[in-house]
Amino acid sequence: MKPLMFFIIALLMLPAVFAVPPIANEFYGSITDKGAALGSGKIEAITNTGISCGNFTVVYSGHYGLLSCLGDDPYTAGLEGAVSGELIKFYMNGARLFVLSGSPYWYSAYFTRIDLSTLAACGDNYCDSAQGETCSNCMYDCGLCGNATINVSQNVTPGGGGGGGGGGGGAAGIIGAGAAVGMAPECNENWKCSDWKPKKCPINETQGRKCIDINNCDTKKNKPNETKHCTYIATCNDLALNGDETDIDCGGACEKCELDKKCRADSDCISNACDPYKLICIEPVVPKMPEIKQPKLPQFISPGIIPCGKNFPWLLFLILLLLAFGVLTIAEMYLWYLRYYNMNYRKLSRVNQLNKEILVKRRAYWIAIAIFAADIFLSLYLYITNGCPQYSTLTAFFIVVTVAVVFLLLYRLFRKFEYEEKKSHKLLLSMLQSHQTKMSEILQIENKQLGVFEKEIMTSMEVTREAIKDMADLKKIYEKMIPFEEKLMAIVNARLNKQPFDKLQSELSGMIEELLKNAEFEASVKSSSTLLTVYNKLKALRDRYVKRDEIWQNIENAIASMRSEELKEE
Amino acid sequence: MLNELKKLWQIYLLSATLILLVILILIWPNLTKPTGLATSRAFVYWINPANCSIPLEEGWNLFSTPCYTQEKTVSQMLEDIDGLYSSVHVYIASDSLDPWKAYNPSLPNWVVQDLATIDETHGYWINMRLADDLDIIGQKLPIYTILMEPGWNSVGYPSFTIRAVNRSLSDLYPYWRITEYFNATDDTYRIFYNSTQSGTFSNISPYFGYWIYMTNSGTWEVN
Repeated sequence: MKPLMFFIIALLMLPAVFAVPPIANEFYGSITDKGAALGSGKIEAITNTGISCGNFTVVYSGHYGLLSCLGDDPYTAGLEGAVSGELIKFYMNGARLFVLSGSPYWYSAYFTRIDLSTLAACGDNYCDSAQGETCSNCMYDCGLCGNATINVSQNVTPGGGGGGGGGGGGAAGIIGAGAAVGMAPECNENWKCSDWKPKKCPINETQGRKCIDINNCDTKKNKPNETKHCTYIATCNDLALNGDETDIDCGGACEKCELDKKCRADSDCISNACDPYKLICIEPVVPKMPEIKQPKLPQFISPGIIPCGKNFPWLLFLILLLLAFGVLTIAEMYLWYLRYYNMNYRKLSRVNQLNKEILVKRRAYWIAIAIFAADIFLSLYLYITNGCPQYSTLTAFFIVVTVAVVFLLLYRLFRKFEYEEKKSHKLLLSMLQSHQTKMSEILQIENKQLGVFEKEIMTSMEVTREAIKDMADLKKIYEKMIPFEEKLMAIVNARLNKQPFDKLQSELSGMIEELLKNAEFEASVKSSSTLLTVYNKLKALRDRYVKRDEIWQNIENAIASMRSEELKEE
Repeated sequence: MLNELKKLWQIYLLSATLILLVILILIWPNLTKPTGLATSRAFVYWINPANCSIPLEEGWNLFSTPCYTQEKTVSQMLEDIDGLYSSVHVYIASDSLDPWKAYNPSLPNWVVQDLATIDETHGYWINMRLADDLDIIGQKLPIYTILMEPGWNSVGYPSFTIRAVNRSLSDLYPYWRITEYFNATDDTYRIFYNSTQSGTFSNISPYFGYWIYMTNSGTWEVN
C-alpha cells in the first residue's frame, strides 16, 4: 500500500518538477501624494494572500518602476509570490496606496502601468471608510447599499494566459497595459522588418520578410515591401540547369557529366567524349593513354606527410632533427651516468675520465651531424623532387653541394672544438707531470724520515734486549723479535753503504704483517710495557711502509697512464 | 676542466638555438594561420573572432550568446533586431531579493530598467514580435566560469560545441538535479534529469539558455 501511495504522490508532484520560476510581473507608473509628485519612499507590492512579492525605492520624483513582483515558484509547496490573476496591493511605509489607474492583477512577464496615490480614490478596489467612502458615494469600492453587493474583483477579466510552464506561456504584445495616456492625435507609422529570407537568393529569385508597425497605427501608407526580386547565383548542386552547365549540375565549370548527359564539348564529359551531333556524353572512342606511374616513395614516408612539390616535409624534418638532438641528449645522459653511478669510471684518473668523455662526445656529435645532414638532404630532396622528376637531377646536384658545404663547415667546427680540447688536455698533462715530480721529492724526504725511524726502533730493540736479559719469561717472548732486529740492522747498514734496501723493507713489512696476525704473541707482549712499546713501534713502521707504497704506486700508475695516452695521441 | 665542459655546452646550446630559430622563421607563416599546426592553437585561441547568428522565433525565446563583445548594453546587443522584440528578461539567482531583471524599449524614460547588459553567462527570455536571426559579431573567449546558486539558475552556454548534457555538466555533479531549455519552435520545455541520466533532450547546444536546478552551489566551467 505504501509504495502505491508514494507512487501516486510522486506522480502528482511531477508537473511541479518541470516548472521553472515564472517571469515576474513588472509594475511601473506614477506616484502622487495629495496631488503632488512623491519624491522618495519605498513602495512594496503585496499579494492578496499577504506575501511581499517585490519592492521599489523611488528614484525619479513622481514615478516608480520597474517594480518586479515575483510569481510563485511552482517547484516548492508553499507560496513565495503571486499566482496568475491575483490582486496586488501596494503599500508605502505600511500605509496602503490607492490605485488611480491601471489593473493591479499579476500576470507573468507583463509590464503593467499602475498609477498610485496616497489618497483614497473611488474605484481603487478598496472601501476606505476612514477616508469617507461609503456605498452611497462610492458604489464601485463599497458595493450597493442594502443587501446587493458587487464583488469587483470577480468582474475584472485579465487579458492573456500567464505563467504556464514557468513563464513560457505568457502572451506577447501587452506592453504597457493600462497606459492609455498620451495618445497622439496623428499616428506615425514606424515599420520594422525582419531580415530577408532565405539569406541566399533562392532559385525562384524571390526573398521575403515580415514587417510590423511598432506604433500599431492600423495604416499601411509607408509599409515597406515584404518581397523582393534577387539574382540567383548558380551552383553545381542546386538540382537545376543553370550557369554554364550543359546538364543539371554538370558540365562547364561544374564536374564532368556522366554518359548520356548533355554536353557541348569533350571536356564536359567524364569519358572525354561528346557526340558532336547528339551533344550527349558517349563512351570514349580512343583508348586512354596508359598513365605514367610515379616512382614510389620509400615506405617509411607517408605520401600525406610529403605532398608532391608543394609543402616542405616538416614532420619528417622535425623527426630527424629531434633524432639528432636525441643522440646528443643520450650521450649527455650516458656521461652523467658514468660520472655518478659507474664505479669503474670513477676509479679512472681525471685524465682518463676526460678522454673517455671526449670519445663519447666525439661519436655522438658525428652521429648527430650525419643525421642532421641526412635530414637536410632528404627533406630538401623530397620537397623539390617528389612527384616532379623533371627537376630531380639539377636540384639533387645543388642539394648535394649544399649538404657537402654544410658538412664541411660542421667538420671544421668540430675539428676546432677537438683542437681546443687537446690543447687543454696537454696543459693538464704537464701540470700532472710537475705535480708528480713534487710528489717524488716529498717521497724522498719521507724515505729519509723512515731511515731515522728505523734507526730509532733498532736502538729501542737493543735497549729492550739488554733490559730483559735476566728475565727468563720476557726473554723468551723477545726471542721472536730478534729476526726483526736483524732485518732492521741490515736495512740501516744498506742505507749507510748506499745499497738498495727496498727488498729488505718489503721483507720486514711482510714479517711484521705475519707477527700482527699472531694473537697469542700480541697477548703475551701486553704483559710487559717495554715489549709493548717495541711491538707498537714495529706496527707503526709497517703502516708507514704501506702508506708510502700506496702513494708510490699511484704516482707510477699516473705516469704509466700519461705515457700510454701520449703514445695514443702520437 | 670546467672551462672545457662550459665550452662544450656553449657550442651545443648555440647550435640548438640557431637551428630552432631557423625552424621558427620558416614555420612562422603556418603558426599564424587560424587552421595551423596544433602548436598554434593557443595563439589562435585568444584572437578567435566569432560570429553568432541566433535564430529567434516569434513569441518567447530563451537564448544565450557565446560571442564576447566589449559593448554589452541591451540596446547595442539587440541592435540587429531593434523594433522586432518587445521585452527581455533575465533571472539572476544570486540576487535573491529581486532575481528578475527586465528591459522594455517602449517604456517611458523615467522607468528604471534593471536589465542593463547582456552577457555570455546568462540565459535571456526575449519576446519577439517577428521571427528573426540575432547576428552578433564578437570573439570567442577560451573559458568561462559560471557560478551556480542553490535553486534555479538561468545560464547561458558560451560555447560553439554541442556536448552531451551529463558530460557538459560534469563539473556540477552531483549537485545539479534538472536542466531544461525552452524550444521556441513548439513552445515547450525539454528536460533532462540527472538522477536518471535521461530526459527529452540529450545535448547542450549553443545559442540556447538553460535552466539548471542546483541542490548546492557550484561552478560550471565552459569552453
